Amino acid sequence: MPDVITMLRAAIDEEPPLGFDAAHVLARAKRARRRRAGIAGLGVAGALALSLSVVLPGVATARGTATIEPAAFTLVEHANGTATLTMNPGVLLKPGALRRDLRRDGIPAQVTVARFCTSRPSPAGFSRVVTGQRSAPDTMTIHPAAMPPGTELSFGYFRLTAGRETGQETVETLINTGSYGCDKTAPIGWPGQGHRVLVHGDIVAGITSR
Amino acid sequence: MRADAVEEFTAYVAACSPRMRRTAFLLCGDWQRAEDEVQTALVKLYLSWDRVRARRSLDSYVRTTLVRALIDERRRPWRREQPHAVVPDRPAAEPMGMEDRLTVRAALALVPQRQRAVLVLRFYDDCDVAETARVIGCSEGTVKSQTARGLARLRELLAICEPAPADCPEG
Repeated sequence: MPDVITMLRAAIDEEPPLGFDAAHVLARAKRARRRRAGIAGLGVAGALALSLSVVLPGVATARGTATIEPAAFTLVEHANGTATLTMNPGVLLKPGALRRDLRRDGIPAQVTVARFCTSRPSPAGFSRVVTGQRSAPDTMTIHPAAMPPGTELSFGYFRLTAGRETGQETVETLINTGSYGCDKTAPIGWPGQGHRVLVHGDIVAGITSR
Repeated sequence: MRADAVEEFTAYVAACSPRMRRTAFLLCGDWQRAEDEVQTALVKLYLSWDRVRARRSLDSYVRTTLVRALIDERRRPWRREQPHAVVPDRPAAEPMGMEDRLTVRAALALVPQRQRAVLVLRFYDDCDVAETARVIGCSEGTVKSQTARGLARLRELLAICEPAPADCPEG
């Protein structure tokens, strides 16, 4: 066996494709800057209210204010083994967080940003694993017991831009664990079978399911 | 932020993300978590971009954010330095195979977090002792002692984990 330092230097020779790109980081960073500016503004407003309260005792002071960051998704596990996943399309998704929560609920999944992983051919049974209603397109019910052995869910998340219009697209399908490829293209209208596409934003809103 | 600064930032993100993710992966053993932590570090970089963009070592700034986020400070024990025998490493005879890579990654995941960070920074990222100390936020003496202990622990674990990663003890 080679020496330990040489082994450490060569510990990685293969790696999955990068699940995010510079545009995604930039969008997250801009949101963070806006959020920070908002918090700073609240601080100034609070200080101003406090000073006013000293000068003018009759003016009501601001009550304690908390800033809560909206979640990109909500995952609820049910007693029957299913889980309900609701996406919040206005909030940028952290792929690792969704993957961890799904795995915690017994749902193996790949979650990728700006990429979508698929197996060709797709494993059968997606329509039994993921169900939803057109009236609530952001919400899906996942039935992990219906997942064929050796498969996992694939979630692809894309930010879309067309001129000044923006939007998000999430795509879900079933893949074979250890046998899949990933593509940078948002698969709108992708002619395969067994997947679900959800598009939000200025560009178009709708859902297709095959 | 001005358009040219945004352009610089996105170019830097595109260039540094793959190698930062590899560093993060060696520290946490999870590609998805590594991606999350790299993105978080890059967002922090953006928030300080106007201040730090002129620095020669943006990598150092991101690496510091990344490594400190991945080291669980609550589990940092105080340990007295103890002398121990140093086993000389043999030069590599041939390129490593997949099995060896899996073994070293499995063993590395079992090395205590701060020692692991020191090993990854010094031997994977090629940081010197001073830079490693600055990134982790400790003295150079601590880096040296943590390096020796980390290498010793990694050697012990490799002896246990070989020939198959499945033989590694539970973490």
